[in-house]
Amino acid sequence: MPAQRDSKFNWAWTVPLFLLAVAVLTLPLLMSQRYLLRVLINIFFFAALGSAWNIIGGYAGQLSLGHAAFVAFGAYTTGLLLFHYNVPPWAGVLPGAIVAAVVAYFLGKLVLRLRGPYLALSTLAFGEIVRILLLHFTEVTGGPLGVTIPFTGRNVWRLQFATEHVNYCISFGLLVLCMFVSSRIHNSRMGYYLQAIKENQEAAESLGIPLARTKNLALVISAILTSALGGFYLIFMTYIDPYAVAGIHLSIEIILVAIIGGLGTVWGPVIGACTLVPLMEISNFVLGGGRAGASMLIYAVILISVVLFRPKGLITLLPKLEGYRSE
Amino acid sequence: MDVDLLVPIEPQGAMVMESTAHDNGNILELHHLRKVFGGLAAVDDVSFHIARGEIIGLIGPNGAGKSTIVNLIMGGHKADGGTIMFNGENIVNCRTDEVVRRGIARTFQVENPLLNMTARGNVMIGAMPHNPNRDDAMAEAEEIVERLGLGRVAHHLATNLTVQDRKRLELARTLATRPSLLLLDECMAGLTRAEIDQTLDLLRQFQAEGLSMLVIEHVMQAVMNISDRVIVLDYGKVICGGRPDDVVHDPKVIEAYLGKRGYARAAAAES
Repeated sequence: MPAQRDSKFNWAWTVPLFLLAVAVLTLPLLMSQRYLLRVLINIFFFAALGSAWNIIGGYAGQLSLGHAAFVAFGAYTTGLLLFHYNVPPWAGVLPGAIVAAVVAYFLGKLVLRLRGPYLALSTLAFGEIVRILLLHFTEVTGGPLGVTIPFTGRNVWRLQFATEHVNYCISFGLLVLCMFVSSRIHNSRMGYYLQAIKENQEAAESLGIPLARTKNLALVISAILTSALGGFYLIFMTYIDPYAVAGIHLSIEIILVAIIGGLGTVWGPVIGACTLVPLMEISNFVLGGGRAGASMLIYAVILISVVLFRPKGLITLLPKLEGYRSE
Repeated sequence: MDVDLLVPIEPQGAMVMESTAHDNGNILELHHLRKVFGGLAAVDDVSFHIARGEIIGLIGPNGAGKSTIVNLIMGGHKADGGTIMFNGENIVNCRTDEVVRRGIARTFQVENPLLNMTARGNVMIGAMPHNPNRDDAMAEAEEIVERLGLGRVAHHLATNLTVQDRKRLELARTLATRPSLLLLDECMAGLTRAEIDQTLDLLRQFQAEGLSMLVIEHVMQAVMNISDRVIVLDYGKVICGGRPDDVVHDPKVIEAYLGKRGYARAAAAES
């Protein structure tokens, strides 16, 4: 019998989740290895990205293959404001979110009426267009040289620290935010509408569900969260360029995290990131790094295995976390 | 805490419309409706009306344009001409979800449920626009499901239901949207005699509660039994309209169904 979807907050989960959060937050105090901290931050970062993408890709079933563009909007807006006007990154995230929201709104109006492969292709094109525009307008964006935030010593205002601990907390906080938004949508009326739309658009429409508006809202929310993560990427990596933040490889990584973990679930992207990021690190270590080549091969093998054996994602190995599926 | 991220919109069709100065008692009026696909006029200058509380049967050979008319009313197709007046307002080219919110609902010729949701879930989604609270929507869905005899299969996935249950589910989903006009597209296809009778009883109940209906059917006894008036479509044009008895004996109608030769044969057999 399918489990019943819960519209009220499930208090039974609060205590374990709280303990988990405490454990995660105290972990860096026990860890002095900067490298390990950065791996964990990467895990949180990609889990959050996957979670944000999931809102439009998993819940609504609209596979956006150009989501890196929204990372770029956040990263570049925050970066340029910081570099030219000394706007602190935690304030610069807001204009980035606005830019992402506006672009997502118009993009949605344009492409969300398309189905299947046409939607995928047009979002793919959108991602590439953004990357190429960032490359082209060198006077504004720095072109292929990108934007570098030089480390000028410890500066709380600009979120610059000698260690990674603050970044660790910020990335964890962003992950919690994305999962919270994702979970709220999942359990709300909008979540039901999205599920119906993903299932059978014609039937959903004949039930009075406003298709365009619902899908568009999902895309805008997803874009806003993704752009915030772009802002974080800037302060974490201190260097951005069009390829790094708007490249196709990033879009693919985001989707992989969500799909491998479990499309349309709250915890899926977390599991996906916990699987993919360490595997990537290990493969870089063992096979000698490089963006192309070995890592792509590993991605491909994992993706094919998951699609063949666990098409609903690795989260199906942990049924308790799969939580509330359809009513 | 149920976060409602969409502005809830009160449906207008659920309430009986106040009589305006122009209200002539018709819930739906089609005036010179036209729809062309390529070179073919699927709907060609069609005009008829449905009075409030009436059940209109829409019959005609396959390909006559009956489903196209339903799609035009529901906003699935863009009309190439004409108006569709619902409660005095022209709804031609309104978006489908808006049409549903105003109070028109349709069933599909080939049942079109949300397959991976339960029967009750399907109905609940329809009830959600009026019920921001999920529990209220669930309660309304349960009521409708019970009423239409789907109680024992409420928790079954729609993909596992029998044909009759699926047809009932189509009806249940429409009721969840609180319509004042129902467009039923061959809702009795594939049903046994007993099941047809049950469905007819249900439709009469709906009519008694004030629902108006447009019933597209090929099951002739059903249409004649339930309709107050019958309209006959052929090649996109209205060829006849009136009381069921008058229509069924109209030579044009017989010719449309049986063809010229068939009509001649039938006439010869009679004499």
